Formats: sequence, structure tokens, C-alpha cells
Amino acid sequence: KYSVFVAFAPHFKALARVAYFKIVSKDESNAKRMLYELYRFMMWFFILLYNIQHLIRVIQVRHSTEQLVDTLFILLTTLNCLGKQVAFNARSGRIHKIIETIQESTFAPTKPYHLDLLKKNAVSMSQILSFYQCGCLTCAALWTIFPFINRTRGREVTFTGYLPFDTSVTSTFYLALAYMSVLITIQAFGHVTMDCTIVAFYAQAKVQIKMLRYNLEHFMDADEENIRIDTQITGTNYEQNTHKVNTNDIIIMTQKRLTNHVDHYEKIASFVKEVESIFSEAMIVQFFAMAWVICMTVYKIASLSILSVEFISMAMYLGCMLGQLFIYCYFGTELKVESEFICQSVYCGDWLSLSPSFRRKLLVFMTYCSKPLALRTAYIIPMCLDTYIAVLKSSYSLFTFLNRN
Amino acid sequence: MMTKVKTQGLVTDLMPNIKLMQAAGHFLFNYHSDNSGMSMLLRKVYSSVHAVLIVVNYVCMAINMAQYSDEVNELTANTITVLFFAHSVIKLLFFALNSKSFYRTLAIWNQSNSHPLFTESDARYHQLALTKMRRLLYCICGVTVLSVASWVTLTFFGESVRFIANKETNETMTEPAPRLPLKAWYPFNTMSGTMYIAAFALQIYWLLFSMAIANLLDVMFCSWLIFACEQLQHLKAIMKPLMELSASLDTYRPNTAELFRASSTEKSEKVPDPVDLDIRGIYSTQQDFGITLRGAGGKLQTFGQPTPNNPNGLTQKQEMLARSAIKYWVERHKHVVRLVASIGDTYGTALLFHMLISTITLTLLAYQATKIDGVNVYAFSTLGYLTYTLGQVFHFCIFGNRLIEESSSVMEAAYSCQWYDGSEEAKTFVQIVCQQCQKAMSISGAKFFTVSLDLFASVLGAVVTYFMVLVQLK
Repeated sequence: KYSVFVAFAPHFKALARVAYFKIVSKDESNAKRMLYELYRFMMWFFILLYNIQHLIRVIQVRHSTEQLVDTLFILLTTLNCLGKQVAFNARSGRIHKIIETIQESTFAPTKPYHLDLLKKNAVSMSQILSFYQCGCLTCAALWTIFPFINRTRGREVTFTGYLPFDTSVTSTFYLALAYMSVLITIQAFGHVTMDCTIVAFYAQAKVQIKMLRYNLEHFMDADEENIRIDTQITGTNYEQNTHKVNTNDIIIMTQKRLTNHVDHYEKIASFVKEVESIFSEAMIVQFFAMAWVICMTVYKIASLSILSVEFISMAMYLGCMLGQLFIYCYFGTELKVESEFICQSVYCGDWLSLSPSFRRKLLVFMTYCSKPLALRTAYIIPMCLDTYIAVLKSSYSLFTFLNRN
Repeated sequence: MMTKVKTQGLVTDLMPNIKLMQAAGHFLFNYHSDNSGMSMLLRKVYSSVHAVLIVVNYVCMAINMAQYSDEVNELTANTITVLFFAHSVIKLLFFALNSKSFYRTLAIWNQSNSHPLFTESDARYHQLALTKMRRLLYCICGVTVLSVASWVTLTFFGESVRFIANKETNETMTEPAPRLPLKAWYPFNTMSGTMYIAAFALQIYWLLFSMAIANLLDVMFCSWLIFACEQLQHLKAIMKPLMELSASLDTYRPNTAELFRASSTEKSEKVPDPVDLDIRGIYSTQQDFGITLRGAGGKLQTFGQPTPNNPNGLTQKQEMLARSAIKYWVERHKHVVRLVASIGDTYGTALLFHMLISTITLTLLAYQATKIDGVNVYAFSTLGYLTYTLGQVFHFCIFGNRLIEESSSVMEAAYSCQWYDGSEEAKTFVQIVCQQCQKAMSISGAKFFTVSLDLFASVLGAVVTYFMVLVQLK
């Protein structure tokens, strides 16, 4: 039996590894649980410490724009990550409920085509996760190497976080570098995994809609119980080749199918709403952090020459930010587009062979489904590719404007 | 001997376009009458030779751009040319990689349903579509040839120089360059002599074929859209006779005077004849009360009953005709929906690439346009590029827009016929069709944008804005 949760397994495994979120299983020994709780506490402590250090430094260097911008880069990203982490932990009950919904029978595959879709989705989700994880680990590695290289070149290296001791001495420098880079790697990894998990929820909703659409297009097809419905117009008789059932069963069967589909759509819509509401504040934080970071990056890049190391690292950072926004917008658009076609799928099913009274039931369903499942950030910003293109356009205009000046 | 290749559906309609594409070097190997190994090999060699020549010359142009990238004006001009012809290379590659998808879309209309009542209308709109497709093809071919001719003519005007930046004094100088239509790096000296003529001939060939490659693929896309639109027109045209036919299915013709009598006192619901049970049980007319006070369309035809019970005197054949007419309409509409979905899947990514490159090209052209200082070669070439690029975008935007309008106007056609006289089946049919047509059928560029005149307006607006801002900043 194929479990729909397979698509999320690598995500939650990675989250558990960095103590961001763990799916509690009943059969764990108390000792293990205590150890894990200790691990989680330590993670939280260090992450909060890291953020507070950066905050202190921001206050310290508030008069020097250059250093302020450097520190704010890191601080905003980690605050963004922290926002999502808080959402995952404060609302873990609701997330567990969502996971249970995913594993219910409504979302389970009932046809080989469904299985195919789910498997493909699982593969692509794990591919996206690996891609983003590799990207973030590369970026974190580069972020670690740059101060090291700068130090060997003899340039002064200032850390972006407040440290109570002097870092020019070699031993303390390496200690501080190790501490900073380990923490930022963990946070980057956790951040990317959380993003991919949220996106995986939306992708699952999209796959469920695809399954629903397939069911609707094959509404009058023979089902597993081998009841064939052959409608043939010969004269005015609809001939019906049924093996063992009579007409009443067919009414019951079509009614049951319609009930299932209506139920399926209802569950998908409430699933999407629930995911959206769990992460709504985290998305607002993300949006503001991203807007600020893009403005600052563009401002900084406009004053740098093309082939300096700093330019490359800034450009890479901007690329990461835009890449993060891209998966949200892309899957938001996919979900919206897919849900717009549900009405068409009902139309492409064989409604001509249904009675007018049954067609009216279908019509109520079609009317309800004509409203697409559009995701929004902060209630006003739609999470779709139009937003993404608008962001790209504005940052390019800002860049051109600043460059000319 | 070359036997006529048997084609059907869209392939027959688009045969001239397909033949031209094969001649221009696209990797289109189907739809030939003679499929022997030798001729297949020859065709593959032909396409590969074209592909190689086009890519090699393109790379030469890119090398030239990299060589003379010091001076801003020269760099901008070369970038625009390189981007301009990127369309051809991308479309050639896109077709080669996606030819299966194209064949599938071309084969979608191979089997289409028919109905004796509507064959005449079908044929008429099909002929209309054919005329429009041919006209479009001739128009675009004419424009291509004209563009190449004017490009070559323009080469002979003005001074053939290129701009070099003097490193010491930081000012721009001019150095003589070969008088060729395109600035490209060749391994041989093309300033004069036989090499010059050879390079010139190569470039004329290259201009013609690369423009043809890009434009013919766009024409195929727009021809598909024309076909879909004419099918929708056909469906709209037969809606009225369809409803009139199904109105005759109705067993009750209300007495008009009776309709307007105060019927508030009539509370008793008209219970249908219990013998009206549909023995198939897919639906039972017992549930079909409708507005049976006035009996308008409340009762369905009974089935399996001998004809004398039929008050309207319709024969079974007529009833079957009405029902099958509705079935024809719905199946044809579903077929059009499938066709449009397939077109979107096939060509959406190509449109995305096209818009991406066109956006960058138009931005640079807006900058170039601010430097126009008189009626000279520079002005003509910049305006030529601008018109051509905007024209390409306009070309597919207008047909995409027409599709959107046609598909949403089906609802108006459904409303404007006398649906209130139709049977219950006909009325629910109208309802479902109206609900479906609320979402217009559109082509999207890989979900990034919808192909419509809004897109063209936003592109044009952006170009004008950039131009105005840059003129102000000068």
C-alpha cells in the first residue's frame, strides 16, 4: 500500500536531524526522547544566542553603513529562518493534524494513474530538496572560506556578530570562525528544508487536484467492481449491459462518486487553507526580509565592479534569495492553475449521459470549483509567478537607476 | 514516383507551411510520401547542414561581439543583432527537441465527429479557417522576404565602419569594416575580392533562412489558433438551430394566454404520470418536476413507450436526432478544448523564451532609440529592428487574444438562442456550457504569462516608459 506521506519523508527526516521539527512516534523510549529534547534545547539556545549577538552588533555599528549592511544581511536571513522555525514549533499540533490528513483515505490513490502521479511527485520533491540543500551547503562553505582567505591575505576580518573577545589572535579567530560557520550552516540547512517542506505541502495539494481531475474526467467509466455502463442510442432506448445490477445501483453509484469527489475537493481546499494559515506570519516575515535584502543587495552591487570576490558573493546571495522566492511562487501558480481546470475536467467527463437532475448537482460543484485556490501572503500579495516577475522587474529598475546615478 | 502523401486533419490544412518548414531546414521528417531510408537520410543531412551553417554563422557573430566589446555603442548594436537572431537558433533547437509534441498536436484533429445537420456549417467554417491560414502564411512570407531585401539594401547606404574606443584618449574612433549585412568574424579577409562576395552571399542566405525558421514556426502556432477560433465560430453558429431542434423535444407547448394568468392560486404541483419511469434508471423523471405549474419543459420524453403516447407527434428518429445534435456539439467543444490544451503544452515554453529575449532586446532598442539624431541609416535600422520585434510579439498576441474572446463569447451565443423553450436536457446543457465558458481558453507561456493583447500592451508600455526615462536622463 502506497503511503502519500512518502513524498514528505526526506523533508521531515532532515528537519529532525537539525532538531527543527520532529514527528513524534509512539514507540520511542523515554531516554531517547529526553536526549532529543536536550538536543533541541541546545539548538534553540545557540540559534537564539547567534541572533542576539548579531542584534547587539547592529546596535554597535549603527553609525557605519558598510558594516551595518553586512550585519543586517545575516540578521535578516536568520530572522526569516527563525520565523519559520517558530511557526513549526508553536503550531506543531496543527502540523501533526495536517500530516494525519495526508495519510487519510480521501487522499490515498485508488487508480494506477494516481499512483504514477504520486510517485512522480515524490521524486521531484526529493530532487528539489537535494538541489536546494546542496546549494545552501555550497553557499555556507563559501561563506566560511571567504574570511579564511581574507585572513591569509592579511586583510582584517570582522565577524558579523558581537563577540566579547578579540579575534585577531589566531586561536580565537579560528574558534569564532568555526562557531559562526557551524551555526550559519545549520540555520541555512534548516531554512532550506523548511521552505521545501512548505512547498511540498502545496505540491501535494496540486497532485491531489490532478487526481481529482482524472477522476472527474472518468466519471462515468467502469469502476473496480466491473459494472459496465454502456449507453447506446438505438432508437429511443438506452441499452444497458449490466452484469448483475439493476438501475437503482447505478443511481447509487453515480451519487456515491459525486459525493466522494465533492468530499475530496472540500478536503483539499481546507488542507490548503490550513497550511496557508499555519505559515501566514512566517510568510509575512519572509516577504519583508526578502524585500529589504533585495534592496540592500542591489544597492551594494551597483557600487561594486563586476569581477571582485565581493560582487560574486553578493550576486550568489541575491541568487539564493530569488531562488527561495521562486519555488514558492512557482508552486503557488501551479496550484492555482491546476484548480482552475477542475471545472473543465467536469465538463470533459461524460455528463451527457446523466439526467438533468444529476447535471444540476454537477453544476453546483462546477460553480464552486470555478473559484481557484489562490495562495496569498499577508492577505494582499498573491503567491504567483506574476509577483515574482514584478519583484524581478522592480529590482532591475532599482539597479539600473542606482547604476546610472 | 512521388505519390501524394495521405494526410488528414490539421496536416492537410497546414501542408504549405509544413513544406516550407522542411525547405527552411527544420527537423521535420514526417509527412513525406516517400519514406525510404535513402531519402530520409538525405533529408536529415539537409537539415543538419542548414543547422550547422546557421549555428556556425551565429557563433561567428557572437565572436565579433566579444571582440569589439570595448566601445559601448558597438557592443550595444552587436548585442541587439545577436539577440535578434537568438530566436532562430532557439526555435530550431526547440523544434528538434520537441518534434514529438508538435506531431501530436498536428494529429489531434485527425478524427473529428460529424452530424448530418451540421456538415454544411462545419465545411464553411473549415474553409474560412483555411483561407485565413493561407493568407497569414503569404503575409508573413512576404514580410520576411521584404525584411531581407530592405536589410540588404540598407547595407549599401551609409559608411561601413565600426566604432573603436581609443584606450588613451577614451574617445571613439571609427575604423573601416567590410560592407556586409551582418558584422561577423570570419577566418578569411572579407574586405574585398571573391571572399567578400562569398561572405555576402552566405549572409544573404543566412538572413533569409534564419528569419524564415523563426517566422514559420510562429505561423504554425498562429494557424493552430485560427483553426481553433473558427471551430468555436462554427459551434456558436449551430447553437441556435440546435436549441430550436431541442425545443421541439418539449412535449408541452404552453398556451400563451394561460401563462400570464395569475397562477398564485394554483398550488397543486403537477405530479407526473407514474408510468413515466425511465426503465434504465440512470435518471428517473419522477425527480424531474421542474416548474411544472406551467409545464414548461417539465416533462421529458418517455422512452420505451409506444409512439401513440407521445403528445407531440415526434418520431423516435427526430428525438434521437435532437439528442445526437447536442452530443455532437459537446463532443466537438471538448475536442477544441483538447486541441487548445495541446497547443499550450507544445508551444508554451517557446513563447516564454521568445518573450524573455524580446524583453531584453526591446530594452536595449529603447536605449538605442534615444541616440537617433536624424534621418540616416542608424535611424532606419533601429526603427526596423523595433518594428520587427514588436511585430513578432504582436503576431502571436493578437491570435491568442482572439482565442480568449471567441471562447468566452460562446456563452453569449448560448444565451442568445431560445434556451427557455428547450427541454430540460437542453437547458442543463446550456447551463453547463455557460459554466465551462466562464473560464476562457487561453495559451500561457509556461504559466508565466497569458498570451493576449494585454501582454503586448504591457511590453509596448514598458518600451515607451524606458525610452522616455532614458531621454530625460540624457
